[in-house]
This record gives sequence, structure tokens and C-alpha cells, in this order.
Amino acid sequence: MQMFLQFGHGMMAHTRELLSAWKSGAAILSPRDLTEPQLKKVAADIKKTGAEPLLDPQCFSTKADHYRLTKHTYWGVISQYPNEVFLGGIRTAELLAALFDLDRSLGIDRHILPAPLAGAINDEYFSACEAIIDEAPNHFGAEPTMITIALSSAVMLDEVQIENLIERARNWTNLTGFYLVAETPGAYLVDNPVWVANLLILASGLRLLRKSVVVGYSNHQMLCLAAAKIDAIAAGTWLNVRAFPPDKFFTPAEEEISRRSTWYYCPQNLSEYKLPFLDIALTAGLLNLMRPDPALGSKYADPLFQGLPPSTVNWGEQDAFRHYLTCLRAQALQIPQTSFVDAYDYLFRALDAAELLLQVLRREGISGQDRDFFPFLDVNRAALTRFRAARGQQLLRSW
Amino acid sequence: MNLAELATLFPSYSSFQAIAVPSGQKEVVSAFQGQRRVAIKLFHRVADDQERIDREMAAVSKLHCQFVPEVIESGIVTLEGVERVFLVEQFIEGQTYATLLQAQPVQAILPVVNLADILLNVAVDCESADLVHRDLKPANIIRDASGKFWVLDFGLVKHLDLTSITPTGHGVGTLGYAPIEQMRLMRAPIDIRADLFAIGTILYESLCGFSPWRQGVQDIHDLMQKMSAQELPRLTIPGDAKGELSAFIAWLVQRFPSRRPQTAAEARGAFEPINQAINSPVQ
Repeated sequence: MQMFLQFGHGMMAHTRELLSAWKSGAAILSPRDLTEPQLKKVAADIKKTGAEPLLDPQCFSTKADHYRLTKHTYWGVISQYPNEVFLGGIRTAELLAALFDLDRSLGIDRHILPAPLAGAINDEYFSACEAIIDEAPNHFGAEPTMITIALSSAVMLDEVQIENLIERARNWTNLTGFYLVAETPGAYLVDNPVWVANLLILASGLRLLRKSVVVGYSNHQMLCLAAAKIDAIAAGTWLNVRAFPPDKFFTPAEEEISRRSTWYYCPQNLSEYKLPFLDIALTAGLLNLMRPDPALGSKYADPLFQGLPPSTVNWGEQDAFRHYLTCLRAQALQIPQTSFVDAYDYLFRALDAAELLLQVLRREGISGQDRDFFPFLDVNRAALTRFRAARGQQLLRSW
Repeated sequence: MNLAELATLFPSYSSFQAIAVPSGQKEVVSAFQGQRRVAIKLFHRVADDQERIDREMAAVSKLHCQFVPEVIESGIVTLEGVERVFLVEQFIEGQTYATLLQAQPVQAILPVVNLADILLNVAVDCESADLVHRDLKPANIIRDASGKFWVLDFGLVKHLDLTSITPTGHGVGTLGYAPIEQMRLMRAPIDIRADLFAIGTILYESLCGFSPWRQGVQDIHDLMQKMSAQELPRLTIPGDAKGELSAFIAWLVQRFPSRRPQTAAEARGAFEPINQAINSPVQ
């Protein structure tokens, strides 16, 4: 499984740095966070590295009013005809024509098609998706297209709606893939195993249609999606690109800056820590247990492990973000994809190993606070177990 | 039924004998064509049912399956002054599987595996003919005197290559054997995966001794709730040391069609090594 970069606020420099090192993969551009000239510049930079730029049109709500998003040319069609762009006909054609022009100007040749956020999977939702899918070939020709599947947390907790969606998607034969974004019940990590299980079931159900599947707005909790053999997860820097909050397309922006903290991601226990807790780990003689495996290829956290109290070294959010994304990508690539059993067993072993380390650290008071993965270990175990019961037989044979 | 008049309408047959069937839709008469025993099915021509009857006949005529009785002829006759649609097919003498299960609710693994083999072959043949039986259940399976199983009654058959004649919102099939998409509890279209669910349910029932979906429910609402919200517990089957048959059946009886084998051929392919292992265990 690959990990793509998900654009959010302040991602341009990170993208250049990381993709220059990786020389492959993809970055999903965000019109909410980039003006058209910025989109062109960053798309060109991405292509220079050998990676692929993708554009998320972010049409989750036609009522979105984010000032940068609504300034894009294609959004003009939505602003003018909010009730018509997903009905089919001339307005749908105008929206897709404008998006195609934008994609073309960015050198993009795999296209993410827009679709609204589904508050419920019903005929209205299918009509909106199918208006786009039916119109798309008139603009994108035979080029690969992925439809956006954006689901509310209420849908994500209802397996009948999830299954209705999978069944309907069997008919969407002219697509090459799905760009899946799922609203989380909370701000970041998900404590409901049903939500995680349904994401696994949905992603694999779409993948078993022999289409590519990219799950956007992901974080390390979604590494479990490797058991569904999806193509990629996409993650970014701030929490609002590591989980999907639909309201961010309405808010004035930049409010996240006021809540900045620097977090160190400990990949082997899937937890993040503020630097003072690393100081405690140093004092307790446990900091080395939190050092990332060199095989993950991140040198960004090296200053934290040179013997000084981590909070006293010059280690900021830039290093934290690059370390997180480097480790997450390496972790995603490490998960074996040789068979369902191999992937599934690996993920369970990783949870077991994380638990052992978390127990040691927690005994000494070293906590990731609300980013400590300990409460989420059983969430992911339950989700994976449920997923195996639902799809295991099929994946054993149709991996 | 006026058998004498019937004899004049079917002069190439002899020895007519009425047979009781538990269906208000049709009457069945056995007869002989030379040495060969046949069943003459006479359908009441209710206007709304005409297309359904035509489709059953078309289905059985185009289905070439060694486990489905052969159709000899079909047409329309006027009997006792009333127009009747008829279908003449190979007569299968034996007991329904429902009767067999009543006498011996828990079956041994070998006969169940052999039944699975036959039902999956029927499903593969249906799939090849673009058909879904939609009413597979123990009462529609007969074991003849030689021990061979046959699948009967294509009265609810769906032709995947024809427009549906089932009104939207109306479920069809037998409760406890038809899956939830067939009972219209979800919006999925009906295809061969519905028959695979019914086959899995029949196998499950054969091994545990009771109708698994109906067990413990008070009424139809309970049943619907159970079928939409619960999975059947995994069976422990004597003779299935690795649990492969149990896992296979669990796959067939998944509540949602996307979680079952996607084609009958896929199910048949997955079953074949299980069949071989149980029928020819390594000593």
C-alpha cells in the first residue's frame, strides 16, 4: 500500500522536500489551500520529482463558502447553480469542463471526479454521483477517473448503507477508481470499531470491483487498510488533513495555527508525544525504545535522540511533520501484500508489538495523552476481526 | 380434474393419475409416454400470472442441467372449458429433502457435501443461462430412488436478461431461505448470489438440524431483523477437521451479497477442493 500526500495548509515546502526524496507516489492538491497559480507551481514541482499530482475538487457541499476554495474558476459554476451541478445536464457539463481545464493546466492525467458528501446513501445521492459519472467521458475521454465517495460519519456507522453503495458501484463501469473520504466521529483517531470495520469493508468492497481505491484524509490508524489491499492512503500535516472534517470548507481558515503543538510520532507504538513526555522518557532511560527504526528512513527525529532533553533541542513542527509522513509512508509500504493472511497477521503483530511498548511507557507515566494509541489498539483489533469475518473468505481467494 | 378429458387432450400419453401438490397455482398429473413417466403440470391462467408461468417454462426449457427435470413439451389446452397452460416434464419419483430432514434433522457430512456439489452445479448452470431460481429450499429438492438429488419448481425464476416483473418493493421467495436483498431489505439487485445464500442456508440447516434463520424468532419482523443484523455462528462439523466446509458455508450465508462469492462459478471453484478433501481424505 502506498501513502500519498494530502495537501492542507502549509504543505508546499514539505511536498517538495519529501517527494524529492521519494521520487514516486502522488500528492493530492487542495483548492481550499492553494490559489490557481500556486496549484500550477506545486503541480509542476511534483512532476519534476517523478511523482503524480492529483486534484481533489472538494465539492463536498455546494454551500461551502471558504474564501480560497470559492475563488477557483470551477467553483463559479457551483456558486451560480448550487442546485443544478449534480442534476446532470448543462450545469454538470460546465462543472466538469471547468475541472478538466484546471486538471489539464496542471498536467494532471488521472482525474478525481467531484461528488457531494453523502449524509445518507439514497436515490438522491446515487443520482448526483451518476450525473457526474455519466457526463465525465464527454470531458475526460478515456483518461482514468476516480469518483469521490465522501461519506458522513452516520453513513459510516451503517453497514446496510455501506453495502447499498457497494452494490450500486458495481454498475459504475466507466470509472477506474474511487477516492474515498470518510467523516470521523471525532476530531482525529476513531474510538468506534464499527466505523473502522465499515471503512475496511467499504474499501475492500470497492477494491474487489477491480478498481483503484485511494482513501484520503488518513492517519496511522488507517494503516489497517492494507488488509483491504487498497492502492493508497493519503495523509498530511495538520489534523484536518489526517481526518476528514467537512466543516473545514466553511470555516475562515488558519484557525488551526493558534493550537499548534509539536508532536513526535513514535511509529512502533503508533502514538504521538509532546516533547516534555520525551524528556520524562529520557530521564526514565526509555527514550531509546521510542527511537524510530532506521529502516523507516526518517532522519528528521535524530536530534531528539542525541542525549539532550528533547524539549531543549531545536525541533519544531517542520521536522515533526516530515518525520510523521516519512514514517507513515514507510510503514504503509512495509505491510506485506502477498496475501490477505500475510497482511492481516502483520497488522495484528504490529498492534501486539505496539501494546507491549505502550505498557512499558505508560508504567513510567509516558503518555501520548489524546494521541496515545493504547485505547485504539482494541478498536483496530475488533475492526480487523470483524472485517475478516465479513470479507475474509473472499479475500483469501480474490486477493 | 377430469382425467378422461385430459387423456383426449394428450393422446400420446397414458395412465393418468392426479398427484397432490401443496400449491394453489397448479395441478399435477402423472402419466406415461411409453415406458417413460412424465409429470403434466397444469397452471391456472390468472391474467397476472401468465407472464410468470411463461417465464418458468422458458427458464426450464433453456436450462440444460442434469439435476433439473427435462422439459418435454409445453403449451395451452382448454380443459373443462377453461384455458390452461401446461408443461410436461420428466417425472421424478422420490421424497422431498424437507421430508428427509424431518425424519433425520442432522445429516452426516458426506451426504451434505454431495448435496452441496449438486446445488452448486445447478447454480452454475443457472448462471450460464442468466437465471436465478430464487426459491431454493428443502421442499424444492427431491431425492429419487437412486439417491440422486433434483431441483424443482422454477416458479419464481428471474431471467437476468429480461425486465423484472416483480413490482418494486415486493419481496419474493421463502422466508428463512431468501436473502435480505430478495426480501427487499436492501436495494441490491437480485442475481445468482441470492441462490448461493439459499444453498448455504440449506447446507447449514442440514448440518445443525434446524432452520438457522428461523430458529429463535417470534415473527416475520424478528426474522427480518435477524437476517439484516446478525451473522450465523460458525458451525463445528464432525469430519471437517480444518473447518474449511464450515468457512465455506459461512461465506455463502453472508448477509450482504458483496460478501458472498460473486459468481456461482467462483463458489463452485472454491468448493471443489473441500469436496475432494472430504470425499477422498488422505489416510
